Amino acid sequence: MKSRIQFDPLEMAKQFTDFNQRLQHGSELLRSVKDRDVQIATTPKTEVFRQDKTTLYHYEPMADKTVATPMLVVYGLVGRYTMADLQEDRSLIRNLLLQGVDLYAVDWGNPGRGDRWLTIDDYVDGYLNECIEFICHEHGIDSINVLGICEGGVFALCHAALHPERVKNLIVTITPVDFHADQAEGRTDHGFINLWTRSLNAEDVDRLIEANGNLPGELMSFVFSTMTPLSSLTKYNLGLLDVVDDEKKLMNFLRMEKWLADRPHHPGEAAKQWLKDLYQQNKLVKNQFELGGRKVELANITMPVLNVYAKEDHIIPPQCSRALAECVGTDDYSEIGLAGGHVGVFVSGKSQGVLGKGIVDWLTERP
Amino acid sequence: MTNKPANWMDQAGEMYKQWTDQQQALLRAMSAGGGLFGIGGTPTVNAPADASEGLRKAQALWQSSMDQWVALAKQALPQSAITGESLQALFDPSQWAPAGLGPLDAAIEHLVEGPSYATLWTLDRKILRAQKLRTEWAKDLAAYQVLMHGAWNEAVKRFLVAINDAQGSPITSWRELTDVWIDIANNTLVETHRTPEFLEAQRRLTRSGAECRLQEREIAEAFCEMQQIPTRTEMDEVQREVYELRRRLRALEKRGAPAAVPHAPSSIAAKTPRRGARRASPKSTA
Repeated sequence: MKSRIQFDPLEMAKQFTDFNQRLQHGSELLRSVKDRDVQIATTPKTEVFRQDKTTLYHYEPMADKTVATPMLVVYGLVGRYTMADLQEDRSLIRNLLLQGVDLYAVDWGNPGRGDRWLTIDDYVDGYLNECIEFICHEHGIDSINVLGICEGGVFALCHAALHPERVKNLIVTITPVDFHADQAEGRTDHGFINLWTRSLNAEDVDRLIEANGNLPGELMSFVFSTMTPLSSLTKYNLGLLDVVDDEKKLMNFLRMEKWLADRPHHPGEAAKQWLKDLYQQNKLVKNQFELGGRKVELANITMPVLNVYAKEDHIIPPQCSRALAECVGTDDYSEIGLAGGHVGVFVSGKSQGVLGKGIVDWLTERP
Repeated sequence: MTNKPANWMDQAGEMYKQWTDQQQALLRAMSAGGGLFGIGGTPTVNAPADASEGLRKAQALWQSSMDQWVALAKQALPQSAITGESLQALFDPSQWAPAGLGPLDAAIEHLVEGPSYATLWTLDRKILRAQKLRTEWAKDLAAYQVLMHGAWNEAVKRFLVAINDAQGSPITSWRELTDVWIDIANNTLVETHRTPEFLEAQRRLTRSGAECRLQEREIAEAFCEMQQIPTRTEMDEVQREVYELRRRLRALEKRGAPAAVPHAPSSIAAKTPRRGARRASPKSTA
């Protein structure tokens, strides 16, 4: 059998020399970088409201206001909101500010064992609602624009369905609505979390939460890593080697690592709802999801809706997001499908400007 | 002396044989009445005549106790005859993870699932149950690892086929070769992760890990209770109380709050936040 491997000894020697040089340069660079040099979420902001561990930030304007209504960015509990402001040239927050949006963001903090009893109801009808009320008070308005990301998009949808009078325009990004639609796509590289959660039974989830108090951030990191097993295994050798001799790329790599490492625990009771009610029983799309004894009827979402999804999203497959079109009670429904994956939509060089501009263009048409 | 390294299994077997031989010799000596504490049937001490009757009674009592002990041991360890296989299972580390402790599993199961007594052996049973769960977790881990090893083996097979495929483009650098491997291994692992067998193995491992942890907590809490230290369960209850109180407070505040909008814009400092909520004094962060 003839092998495809045809190594030229001279070429191999050159590659080896090049490899050594990169390694040497890279190791010098890595030695000089300290944790304090790797900063994320640096866009200037002011803490304006706090309740328990929830903090509301107001960003300093960077341009004249082009959108009259302030906007609140709502991230989920699976990661931190800092992903929307990873670094100066890869920041949805900064892009929106530069285009004249008056911007707020809610930070859920780092839930600990003592927060295990918090439910999605507490986040949606409690903390998120308080933040929205605060902004309405502050600006003397009835409603604001809300932008939800991933699980934060689900929170935003639930809030908009329960309090439609408080949301002027709703934007959801990479947000699951039909948690079983991954099966319709038939892709083996998409939707592993959907499959994994369906492989557990309700009692497995309960015992997991009982044992840990929360859904451990480390467990979710592990599940995420099994979706792209080899890139998870090779990122600290091959991946790092690809960027180690380029300071800018290395810092980008380290900032992303910092965000990934900062994965909070998901409060236990809220995690049970997230995994059982939504991922396993798919109650949101069926209008069966209950918060505080009230059903979340997506048809109550009557304000304009913009749904942004990522075409290569392996965590929230596009069909899971796009199912929203059939559920909302508004005719003013738009979609933007962006190239890239779940996180790439926010942090890739290519998406910079595209996402922010798409949102601002859509908003300016709906003053 | 040979060059063959010492075989610990042979040594253990020899030790066991010697011990058994000695026990048998002791029993023979006692039952034959030919001597006391004789080894191998050789009397070492001559018993005084007036002690003979006492010794006979002691011997009978000893024999009866031994019979009872054997009967009890048979009940406790119904499958646990000490054989070469069971010894190997006990001493061979490679057998611990995949097979548990074999006969000892059954013994632990028997003790854990036996009837409970109000104050007797409570902590011991908890510890035994933790041991049992730990063994089950080890089995689940081994089953998971077997699947993963299978996936890696399959990836290697596919890789060898790919690099020897005459139709494929030439691979001229180590990086190209690595990329071929990464691509094949990634796809193979992703395929495996989606199989019902893998998902079930992962589910079982997650579940048995949780059960182990909960049982270990029970043991820790038993010690905490002895020392009057608050337990995790008690802390959970307290935190639940705090949580419920916060919810009730929020609901009360909502009921008592004035209509939220419309409002004229106002400065942050001029407004009174709801109780429980803290209006932050403006603090810049970057």
